[in-house]
Amino acid sequence: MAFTSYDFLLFFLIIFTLHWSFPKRRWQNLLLLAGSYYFYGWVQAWYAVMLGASTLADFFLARGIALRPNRKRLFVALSLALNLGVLAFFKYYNFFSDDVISLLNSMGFNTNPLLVQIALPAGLSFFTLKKLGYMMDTSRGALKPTHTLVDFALYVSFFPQLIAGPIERPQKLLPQIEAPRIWKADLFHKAWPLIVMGFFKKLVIANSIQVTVDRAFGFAEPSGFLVLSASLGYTLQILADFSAYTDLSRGVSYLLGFETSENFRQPYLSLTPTDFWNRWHITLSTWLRDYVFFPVRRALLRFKLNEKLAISIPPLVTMFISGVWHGAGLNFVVWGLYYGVLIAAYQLIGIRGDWKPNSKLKLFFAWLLMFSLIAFGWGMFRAPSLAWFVNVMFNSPFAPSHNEFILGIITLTMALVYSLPLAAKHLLDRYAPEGWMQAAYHAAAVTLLIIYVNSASSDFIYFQF
Amino acid sequence: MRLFLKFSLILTIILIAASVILPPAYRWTFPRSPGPTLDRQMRTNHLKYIEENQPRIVLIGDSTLVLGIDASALAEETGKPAYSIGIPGSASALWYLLIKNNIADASFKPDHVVVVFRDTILTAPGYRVHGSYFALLDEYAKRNEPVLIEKSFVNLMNPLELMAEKYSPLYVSRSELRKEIDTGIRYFAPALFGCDKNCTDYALGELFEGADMEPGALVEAVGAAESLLYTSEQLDFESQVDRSLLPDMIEIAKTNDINLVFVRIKVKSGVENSPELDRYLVSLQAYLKERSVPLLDFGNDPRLTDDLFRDSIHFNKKGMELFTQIVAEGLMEISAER
Repeated sequence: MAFTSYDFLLFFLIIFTLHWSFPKRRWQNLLLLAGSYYFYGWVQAWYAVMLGASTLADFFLARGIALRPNRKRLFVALSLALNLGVLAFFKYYNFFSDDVISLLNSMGFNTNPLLVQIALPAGLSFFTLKKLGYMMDTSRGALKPTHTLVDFALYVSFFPQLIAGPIERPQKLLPQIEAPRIWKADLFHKAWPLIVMGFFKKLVIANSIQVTVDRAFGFAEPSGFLVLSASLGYTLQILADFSAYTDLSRGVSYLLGFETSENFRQPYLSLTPTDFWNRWHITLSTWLRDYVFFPVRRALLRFKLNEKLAISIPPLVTMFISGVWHGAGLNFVVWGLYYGVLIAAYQLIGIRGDWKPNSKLKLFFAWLLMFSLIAFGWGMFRAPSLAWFVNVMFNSPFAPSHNEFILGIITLTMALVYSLPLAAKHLLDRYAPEGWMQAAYHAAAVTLLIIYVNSASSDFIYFQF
Repeated sequence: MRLFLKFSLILTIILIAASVILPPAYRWTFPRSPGPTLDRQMRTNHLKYIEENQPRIVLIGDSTLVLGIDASALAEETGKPAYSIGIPGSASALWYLLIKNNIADASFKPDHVVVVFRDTILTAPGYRVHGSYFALLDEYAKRNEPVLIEKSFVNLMNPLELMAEKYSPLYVSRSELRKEIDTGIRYFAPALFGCDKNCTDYALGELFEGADMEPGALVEAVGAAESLLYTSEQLDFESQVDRSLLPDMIEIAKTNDINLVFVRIKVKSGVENSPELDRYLVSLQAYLKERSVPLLDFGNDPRLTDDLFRDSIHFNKKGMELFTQIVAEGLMEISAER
C-alpha cells in the first residue's frame, strides 16, 4: 500500500480516528500493531506471517539475553543467523536463481523458472536492521529488553516506517510506544508541512524526471553525455523520491503522536564523503557506524595495525556492507566500495568529515568535486548492470548522436527546473521558516500537486532495497 | 498555527482564482460529468478499408498482433482475405471502439473478427486509457461514448477523484496545465540549440519508440507496464467482467451479425502457470462458451517455445510464422464447425 494511494488514505483515516478514540495506550498500541500487519500483508498475506514469526523469535531471543546473560553470545548469534539468513535468502536468491535452475536442470530436475523466482518482501532490509540493532544493544547492556511482546512487535512493524525506514533506534521509538499519547495541536502543525512536501517531492519532482532518466538508462549503448545527464537527473530523482517517503513517514508518525528521526539534511551540500553519509540516509549511516564501523575499528586497534590500514579498512568494510545491503548486483557492491575508497582517501590526506575550508573559492571547488563524485556514484548505482556501466565509461563515445543530445539536454533542463523548488525550500527553511513566503510555498506546492496528480503512482525507489 | 492559517488563506485564494480563470479558458461548465471530454472528430479509415476491400477476416490487437500474425500469410493459409488492425499501445477500450465505430458500422460484414489478446486484458477497461493512450482512444471515439467513459474512467475513480472531477476546475484542467508546463520544459533547451518543436518531437519519438534497449531494462519496463494485468483484482474474472467492455463487445457483435473470435496469444508473463490465472481463464472460457463466442487459447501452447520470442511479450520472425499458421488452423476449424 503506497502512501500516495487512496487505499492508504482510507486506511490511515480509520487508524487515526480509532487511535485517538482509544483512551488507553495498550489499546492504541494493539490497534497500531494490527494496522501495521494489515498494511504489510496488503499485497501478500505471507509477508505478514513471516514478519510475525521473525519478530517472535527475536523477542524471545532478547528475553533470553536478559534472563541468561552468560549465554548472550549464543542468543545474538542465533538472531544474526536468523535475520541475516532470511535477508540474504530473499535478497540474493533471485540473483543466483538462474544458476540454481541450470544446476537443477543438469541434475535432471525439470524446473519451472516461476517456481524458483521469489519476490523480496518490501521493507525486509529495513526491519531486519531494526531488529538486529535491538538485539545488539540488548547484548551490550545499552538497552533493557521490553517485557511486552506487543510493544516490541509494534517497534519492529510500526507501519509508517515499515517499508522504507527511517531505521529507528529502539531507544527512541520504544519509550514513545510505552508512554501514554495524548493528542496535541502541535502534532498536526509538525505533520502537515512534511506531508505536503512528501507528496510534492514524490508526485511532482521524482515522478516527472523518472521518465527520461529511465529511458536513458534503458539504452543498450548510450553515449557518455546521455549517461552523464541521466546521472544528474537520477541524483535529483533519488533524493526527491527517498526524502519524500521519509517526509510522509514522519508526517504520518506525528499524526499518531510519534516523533521519528529525520533521514536527510541537505546531502548534496556535503564537502566530503563522510559529510555526505552524515547527511544522506542518516538512520542507515548511524546504524552502520555503530554496529559495523566502530566494532571493526575497535578490533583493528586491538591488533595495533599500521595507521593507514586502521584508517582505510573500517570505511571499506562498512561501505561494502552498505553496498550489499542496497541490492543484489555487482554495481551495488562496487558503489559501496567506491564510497569506502573515497572516505578512506579523504581521511588519509587529512580531510575529516567536518572539514570546512576557509576561502569561499576552496569551499566551492570542494563542494563541486564532492557533488560530481556523488552524481558519478548514482550513475553507477542506477546502471542496469556493472558491465553496462563499465562499457559506457570505457567503450562508448562521450559525444552523443543528435537525438541523444536532445534527450540529454531535456533531462538536464528537467533536473535544473525540478531542483529549484528544493533549493527554494532550503532557503526558506533557513531564512523565513514561519513567514508568508513559507505559507505561499506550501500553497503553490499543493496547487502543483493537484495539477500533477494521477490515479496511479509509481513505487518509491527504495522499496526495492 | 499561524503558518497553517496563512497557507490555507493563500491556497483558498489560488483555488478561487483558478475557478474564475480556468472554466472560460478551457470552456468547462461546473458541476460537470466526471471523465474526459471526447472531441467530435473520429477516424473511419478501417471502416472505409473494410467496405472497399471486403476482407473476410479482420484482426484486432496491439503490438503483439503486429508482431504475432502476418495478415497476408494468414490469408494464404485460410484462403480468405485478411486485414490486420494492429495498433501498438491499444487495449480493450480501443478494441471496443474499433468494433463499435469502424467494424459494426461498415456495410460489409467479415466472416470473422478476431480479437488477439493476452491474459486478462479483455477485462481491464482502464488499461492504457490515460495520457498518450487517451489521444489514441479519442481518434476512434464519437463525441458521446457513455459506456466507454463509465467503464474505462468513471468506474475506476475513487470518491475523491469523482468529487474533484465534478467540482474542481483546477483538477479538471490538470492535463492541459501539465501539458503547458511540460511543453515549456521540453522545448526550451533544444530550441536554444536550433531544434524546434518538430525536431524535438522527432528525436524523442525515435528514442522512446526505438528498440535499442538494454535487455534487462526492456524486460523490466515491459514487466512494469504489464503488472497491472496481474493484480489480484484483475485476476478475479467474476468481479471484473461486468465492469469491463467485454460484454459490450459481444453484444455489439451479436446485434450486428459479426462473428467474434477471441485468440489468446502466448506471453512470458512470469505467471503463466499461476493458479489465479488458471482460474481466471477457466471462467473466461465458460463465459464465452455460454455466449457461443469461440476462444482459441494458445496461452500455454507447447509449440510456442521461448526461442520464438524477441522479448517477454512479442514474437520474433520465426514465432510470427508459426503463430500465424496455428491461428489459421484454429480459424479453419471454427469455420468448418459452422
